[in-house]
Amino acid sequence: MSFDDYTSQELMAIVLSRELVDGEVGEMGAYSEIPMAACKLARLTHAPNLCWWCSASSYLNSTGPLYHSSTDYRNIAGAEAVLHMNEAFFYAIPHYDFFFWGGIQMDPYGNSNLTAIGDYKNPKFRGPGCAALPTVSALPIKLYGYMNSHTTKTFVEKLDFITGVGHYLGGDSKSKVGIPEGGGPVLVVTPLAVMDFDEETKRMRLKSCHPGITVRDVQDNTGFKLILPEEVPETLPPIEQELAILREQVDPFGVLGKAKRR
Amino acid sequence: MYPKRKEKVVSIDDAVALIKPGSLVAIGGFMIHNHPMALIREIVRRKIRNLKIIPTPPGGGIDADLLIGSGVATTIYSSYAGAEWLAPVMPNYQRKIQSCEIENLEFDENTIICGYRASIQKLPCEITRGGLGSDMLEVNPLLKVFKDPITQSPLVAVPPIEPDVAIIHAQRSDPYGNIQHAGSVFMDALIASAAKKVVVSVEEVIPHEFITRDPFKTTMPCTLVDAVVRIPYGAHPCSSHAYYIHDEDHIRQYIKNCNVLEDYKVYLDRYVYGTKDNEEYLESVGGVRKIFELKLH
Repeated sequence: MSFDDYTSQELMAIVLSRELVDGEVGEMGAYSEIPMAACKLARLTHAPNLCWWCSASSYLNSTGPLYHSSTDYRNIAGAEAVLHMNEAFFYAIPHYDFFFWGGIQMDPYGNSNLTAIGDYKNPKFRGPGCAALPTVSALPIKLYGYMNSHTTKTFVEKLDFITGVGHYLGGDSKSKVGIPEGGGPVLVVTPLAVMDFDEETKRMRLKSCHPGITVRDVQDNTGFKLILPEEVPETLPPIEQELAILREQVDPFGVLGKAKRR
Repeated sequence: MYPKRKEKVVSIDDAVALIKPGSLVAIGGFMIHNHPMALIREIVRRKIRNLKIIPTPPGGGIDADLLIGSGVATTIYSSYAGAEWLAPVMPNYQRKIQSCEIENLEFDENTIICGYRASIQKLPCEITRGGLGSDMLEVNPLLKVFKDPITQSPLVAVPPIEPDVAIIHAQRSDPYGNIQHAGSVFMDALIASAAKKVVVSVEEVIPHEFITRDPFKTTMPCTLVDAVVRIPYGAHPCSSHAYYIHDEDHIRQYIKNCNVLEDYKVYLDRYVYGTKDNEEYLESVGGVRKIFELKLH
């Protein structure tokens, strides 16, 4: 096993995994290979009391190997509980601390578009739909963002459609539309970097660049001005033990192994 | 002589006859799992036009895409249509929204659930906070923001969504329509509760005694169900939870054939119009060898 040769998706799963807090409860949506790997890895390393629901089928803490489809019966085998999906709104969602967040576009405030690019009525690109983002974003919980593509087309100053509210227009604008305070995006992980948010303005700030990626690379691939701290550290690469557990116990079939890191 | 209890197992012809042109049709399952695909192919064969469809919240997939691509569905209440790693967005759904060929009402998972809950409770609306700040509220005229009379804070009112027919795929039923899902129930019980008529295709029809022996396993009681059709492998190419996995090769072929209109017509001719029933369809996708390959146990 070569530890220098890890994929972008493996790195993103490991970075997200480190952020997860032992004892917290959270959820990922469908089509969530990276967040699911992150949660499984966290429970096998620093966070044995982490509890995670997958909204697709509403199952808790599945323990088997990772499959592509979050709703695959084989992914659910080894879970601790399965709800009727609509029951999750009563028995699971009220206890969440966090949710995994993404989209086809993201803006500097972490708002997300999963619906349409271009004019809504005559879109250039139709996305899959709103999914659960408008509802999740009205909850006072942490949102861990992840985007599989980091370009000036995916990170834009203004969204063509706000599907899910991140920090809305910054400052206290979110509470003004009626969303309870205390939640919102805390982190965004991409194939290039990790970003967090300025505490006052709520704009996106570069936190670390992945190995081999410069601050310039990240800014050049971002369609708005990132807040750049004087010192931007390198993202800690996967350590041997993390990668071994990820590959041997979490993802033995290589679901995260297709795209080689550039 | 006292009358006998009525059985609900019917032919696919009688079941699909419940769906009229223009019906509002809700679909069970999720993404690439447990969709009533054999019922959907029969609807497409019969060209039951102008259907308004509601894929399961949030995730329809090839079910909605086949109804849209073949032209029988002209309106969609959409919260999501994708096939995860095989297709982040379903191709016909995407193409026909981009070219304005279908009407699209923008919901999210929870607002469709709210609509179903309003329908079940016979309420004029169900309320939620979900959607505040989202452009979903700007583009969907059915969703209204109002001020809660108790706290004066803004909330979203969702009107009832009452499907004319719900079509669902589950694993087992007794002759009277007591349904068992062997894996996830997804949103199926909620969808069935909200709809006027409910059609369920099942892998197996089991004796009534199997139900009464373990009533805890009943996931949808017969009071929710109007018609049951026995269609083994009726979810193909989707999975049927705990029975067989999805046919990844076939779904990939479907998605590839969506790229070119001519190829899509060939797909429909070969697998839908060109097969008279689910048995012929299963022969066309690989027959016994294929279905044994997909079988879970």
